[in-house]
Amino acid sequence: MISQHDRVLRDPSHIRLIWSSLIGAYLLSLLPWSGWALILEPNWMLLVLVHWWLREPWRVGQGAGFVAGVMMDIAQTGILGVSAFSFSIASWLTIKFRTRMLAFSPVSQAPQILPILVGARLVMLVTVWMTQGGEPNWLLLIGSISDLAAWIPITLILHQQDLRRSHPTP
Amino acid sequence: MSTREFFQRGPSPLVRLAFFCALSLTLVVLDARYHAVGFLRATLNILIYPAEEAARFPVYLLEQSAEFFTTQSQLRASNEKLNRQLTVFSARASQSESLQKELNELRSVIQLPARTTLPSIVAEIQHGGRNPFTAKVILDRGSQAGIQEGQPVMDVNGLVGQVTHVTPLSAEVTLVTEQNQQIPVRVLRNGLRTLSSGDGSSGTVSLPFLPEGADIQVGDQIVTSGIDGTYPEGLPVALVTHIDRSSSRVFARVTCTPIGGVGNDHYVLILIPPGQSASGKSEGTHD
Repeated sequence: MISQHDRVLRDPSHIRLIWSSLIGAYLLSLLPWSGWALILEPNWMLLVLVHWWLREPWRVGQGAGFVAGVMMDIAQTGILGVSAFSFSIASWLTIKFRTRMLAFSPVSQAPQILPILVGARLVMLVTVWMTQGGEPNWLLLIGSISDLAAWIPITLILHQQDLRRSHPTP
Repeated sequence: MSTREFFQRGPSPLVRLAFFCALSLTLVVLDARYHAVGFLRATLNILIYPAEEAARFPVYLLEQSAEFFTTQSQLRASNEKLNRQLTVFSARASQSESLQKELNELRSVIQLPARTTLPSIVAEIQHGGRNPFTAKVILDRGSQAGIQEGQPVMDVNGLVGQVTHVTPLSAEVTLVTEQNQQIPVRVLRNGLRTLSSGDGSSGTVSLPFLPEGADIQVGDQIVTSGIDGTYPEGLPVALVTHIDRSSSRVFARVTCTPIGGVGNDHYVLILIPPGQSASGKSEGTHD
């Protein structure tokens, strides 16, 4: 059983899936979102990262979270380091509770993921508020709902892809 | 089976958390307080440029197909409107030319330097910055077209913002509505000078430093005063929409709506202040 698991981990198609999902999430966030769509846009990168933090923390770890955060800050033309900070905290929380969360099905994981998703947005809001001042835009927390809605299909698809690659149908 | 997956090596998650948090907060402070990460940002921006273009492609296709299916009646209506505008604007242009000449003659009488016209570059807005925290837009032309940081940006109606970051092929414009973006302005009606400041997410501009009894009315037009040397004088900035005078405060709370189509217009004009060259690529002049 362990050697089977090991074989999957070393399978190049598995590594390709990790990379392509991360790049896909990045391209989705590069779409020209604006107005309400921007507020309701799920945090694609964070969702894909959470999936891999849960399942492959030794391959996609806290460092990957930091680098992805910096790339998100560049994509969003925001203050450099805001997403990186938020993703660093989210990665620690996810990896800390991953064994417990993995005991649940992807759908029942959702309520446990929600605090992490809300927390990530809250950290960004507070960091921007501390550096720029003014009124924090609390509306942005609404986006956590679309995060949660997008979480279930994203994790199901990625999980299914993983299974298909490890047990190819003849 | 290697032991790599079973026995974790390296620092503990908590140590990693502390390290990455410290690193990201350092980045935040360096960027927000000292603007010291320009080089890193520029390099990464160039790296993601192909990805940005790839992500824009489906949207571009959608826009193109939508344009393709524009009906003839819509085209004719728009053409008629543009022709009508052209007549009005060319009449105004010839009028303003003679006025400019007259003004410069009068200025020479009282020995003031003549007002010159500014060269400008036309650029298209690529996307709205994608950041819910900031009011910025990204233009499709950059330093290769002669755009430099600090140049004012306007559209047909008025001031839109200021170029704050340039890469060879794109430029980032911070809008007048950005939190704490300050512009020296004056009230057109009576010449009252003050500073305008962006309100951030609400999409408005306020005048935070006007005393409670200041002579300002709803409907007053706010234009740039030109005293900072960044923005040329007289560009329309905003219209006063709400005034809250309360005797308990020293300053009145004045809220204005920006005149420039912040977030609406497709094309903008980047003005090149005197002394900066547009590397011979400017496309016209503007007062």
